[in-house]
Amino acid sequence: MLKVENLCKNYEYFSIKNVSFELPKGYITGFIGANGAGKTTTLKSILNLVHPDSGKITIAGKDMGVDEIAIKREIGFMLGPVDYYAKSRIGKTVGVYKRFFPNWDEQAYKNYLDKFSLNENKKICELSAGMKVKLGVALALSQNAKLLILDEPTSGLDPVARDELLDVFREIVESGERSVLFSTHITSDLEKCADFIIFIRNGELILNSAKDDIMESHLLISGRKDALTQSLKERVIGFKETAYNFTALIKTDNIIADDEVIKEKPNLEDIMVYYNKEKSL
Amino acid sequence: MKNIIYKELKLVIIPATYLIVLLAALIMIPNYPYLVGMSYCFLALFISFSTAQTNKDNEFTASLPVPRKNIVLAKHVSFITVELLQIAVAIPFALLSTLLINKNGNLVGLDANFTFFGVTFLCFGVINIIVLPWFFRTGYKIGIPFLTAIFTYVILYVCVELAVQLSPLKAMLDGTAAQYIPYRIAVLFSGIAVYCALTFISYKRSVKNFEKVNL
Repeated sequence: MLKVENLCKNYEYFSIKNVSFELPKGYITGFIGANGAGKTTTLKSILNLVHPDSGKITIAGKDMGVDEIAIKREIGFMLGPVDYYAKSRIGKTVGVYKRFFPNWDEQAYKNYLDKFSLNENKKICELSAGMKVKLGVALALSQNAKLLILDEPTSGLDPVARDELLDVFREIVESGERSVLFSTHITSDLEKCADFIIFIRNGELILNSAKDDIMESHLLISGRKDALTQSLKERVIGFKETAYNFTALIKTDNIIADDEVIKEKPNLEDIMVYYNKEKSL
Repeated sequence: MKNIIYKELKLVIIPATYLIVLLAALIMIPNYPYLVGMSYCFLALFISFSTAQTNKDNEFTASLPVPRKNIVLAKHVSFITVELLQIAVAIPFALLSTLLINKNGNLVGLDANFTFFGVTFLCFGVINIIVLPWFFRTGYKIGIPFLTAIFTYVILYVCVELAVQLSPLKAMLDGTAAQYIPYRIAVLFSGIAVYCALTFISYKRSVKNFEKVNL
């Protein structure tokens, strides 16, 4: 559905370095990384809002460099809560917005407004932060898009609204024809609904795999501080020490029988946190 | 293309623009620098662009499937529409001024004749070529480009006025004497030609600038 090949973008103090990944059709992919890791820059580069220095983006077989506008008419994207034309009524701004999308599904739009309890007569500035996100999602979803690219769609939403939104994502991919790529800091959302995970750190791709594979290929280990031997330190990805204990993330393959540690299954947050403590950083 | 122009006229250009251009009625004030009356369209455009910036119009536009050159073209169409509207509204006031109110001519500058409208077109073209390519270096900064353009506009107008008033051709270019109308019409068409050329160059430069911007 989406193929990113060797994407590079250099700024004075930051670069996206050779990022490549592929988004399969019919799945939800979570895009994670710390603040400033390059998630938004990568998404903007995919959409050609930021001009990549090199790399190729292909969406549904079309080259973004050649068919940018045709592609953008067929994908839905939201790079933040809707807060433009804040003093205008939703209906007025959307009335202009929808003219640009030939596949606009008015019925679906009305249904999402009902589902998210959005009133078209309200001004955008009268919406809560969460409602602004919901409006952005409703717009992206009403374009009958085959691919949805959403930057932080769940941030600012209460747990109930987040759960509703994740249900919506699951419904979207149910048919197997549509894909969702969304970035988030809230890794628990991805644990609930993502099939694949892309993890970026300092502009470099660190992990890109099925969520279950990532979870199974890592272990969270802990133990007394003296169990963190030099040999173990060299095998872990990252670790935290207290006066008496330590915890660390390690690849499942790198654990050996002699290690005197307690093993636990990590969650995505552990993986993200410990990769950011990697020794080489 | 028509959608992005629709968006500009519906969301960006403030409705008050259509009232502000009526200030072209200042042309009817006796002995007055008439270009002042023609300048209010830029006040309307400045307020429109500033309001659009506050409304995060650049974010909204970035969310639309529109080629960048069309975004540039739509902004140029907005400028041209408001400028031509200003000139169109000024024409009846100029006729009233010349035929009924200021029959003895304007003592402080050009009369509201064909030369005046030619100079107006020239000045509008200069505004366009300063403001728009500068604006499209960022896609949102408007203050300094507008200030620079208005300053240049005033200096240019003063220079042109002085050139006409001190010129041996004053009798031909200023005033309303019927025998010189062809000369004044020639100035008008020259002004229109310069306006078209400057606005076209402005479009080309703006496209080049905007293509480089990371939104």
